[in-house]
Amino acid sequence: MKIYEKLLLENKAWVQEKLHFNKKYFNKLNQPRHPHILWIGCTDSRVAPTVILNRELGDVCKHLNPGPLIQKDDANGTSAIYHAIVNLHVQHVVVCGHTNCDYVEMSMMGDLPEIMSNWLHPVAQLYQENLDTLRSVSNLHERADQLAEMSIHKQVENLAQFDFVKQHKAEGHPLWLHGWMFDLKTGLINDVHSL
Amino acid sequence: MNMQASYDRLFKGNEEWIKAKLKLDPEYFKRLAKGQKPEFLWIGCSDSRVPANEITGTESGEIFVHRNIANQVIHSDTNMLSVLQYAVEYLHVKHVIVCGHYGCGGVKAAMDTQYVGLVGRWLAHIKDIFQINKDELDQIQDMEDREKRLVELNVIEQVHNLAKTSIVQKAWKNRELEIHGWVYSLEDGKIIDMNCRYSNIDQLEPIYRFSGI
Repeated sequence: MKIYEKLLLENKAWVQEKLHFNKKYFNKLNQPRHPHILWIGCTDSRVAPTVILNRELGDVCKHLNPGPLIQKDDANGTSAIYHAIVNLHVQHVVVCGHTNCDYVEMSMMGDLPEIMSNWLHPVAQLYQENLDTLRSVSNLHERADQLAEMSIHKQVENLAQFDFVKQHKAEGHPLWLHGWMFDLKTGLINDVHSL
Repeated sequence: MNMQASYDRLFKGNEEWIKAKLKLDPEYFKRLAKGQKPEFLWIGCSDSRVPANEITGTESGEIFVHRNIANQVIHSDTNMLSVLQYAVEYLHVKHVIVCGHYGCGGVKAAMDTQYVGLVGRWLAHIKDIFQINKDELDQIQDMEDREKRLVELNVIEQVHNLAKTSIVQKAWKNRELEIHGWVYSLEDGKIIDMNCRYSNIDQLEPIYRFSGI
């Protein structure tokens, strides 16, 4: 059996298990959703939001990109954020980075191929801007973790700068922006910056 | 549930998950921090009801995931392309899966003419897929069935788009890599394989084949 066929088989097992505990499980899931939270996280396979949050399906919508980064000229991420805030009226937006991030380490080392270096340019730039502070951290992994945290801080600020975010707030809609870091070494999530 | 409570539940869920993991394996996080070796890249929809790990019964570390509205693969999108590049060239994933789902809000909005603001420029690509397949879609009388078919056609087109990238074609020169298109059904939780698999450059129309890579 090919490994992707195993996934399809696991899917069948998962359906059986869900129906065993709740015959109407999928009836509920098929309803239009009203998620309260938009999760903007990294693509890293170890940081799956529904797994690390121990959450059931249906209450967190997600955009996952390398970093994660929020960039004004990125139609992909901007569309997801706009839709979640303006159309779905989520009340919390969480930007969640993590320790041991390959993307951040590679950006710091300047060791990226062309496409990735375009996307991750803001991380390399942030490193340059904070070179004095970050150079004092001699362990490179710890330095990258610190840079990752700085980046999350910056992404929350970027979010707040969107015109549609400002307008949504000005119209009186409740909206909180959060920056989190997931520590792969402990599994814990820490709040690093909230607006 | 009020919104503060729904937010707090996330932290509580995180604590519960840590406890459960450590109970089964005290070294769990030490191993996780060491690195990842996923064999799959998943390109899925932002929809909250379609999480890759749960519906495929996989654990943390097994699937690399990119999620955007209506699981699009757009040639000029650096966001998605840098995910693909890292997954294929650094993690050496063996399979790339585009997974759409019936009841997709993005596809629904693209079939409608109502202006949806900023998100409209993202959905314009799905309107193109509708127009290209207009004859087939017009023959489907039931609107829900028509929408379902567009969800399928959208997945098939995104798989095609992946095969057109230089990243995938470069990998094919040196090793095996399969691209799959799936549709997840919210009604019963099942994944349907669209059987639109690509595994080599010969399956691609000549105009899309790169030489000199």
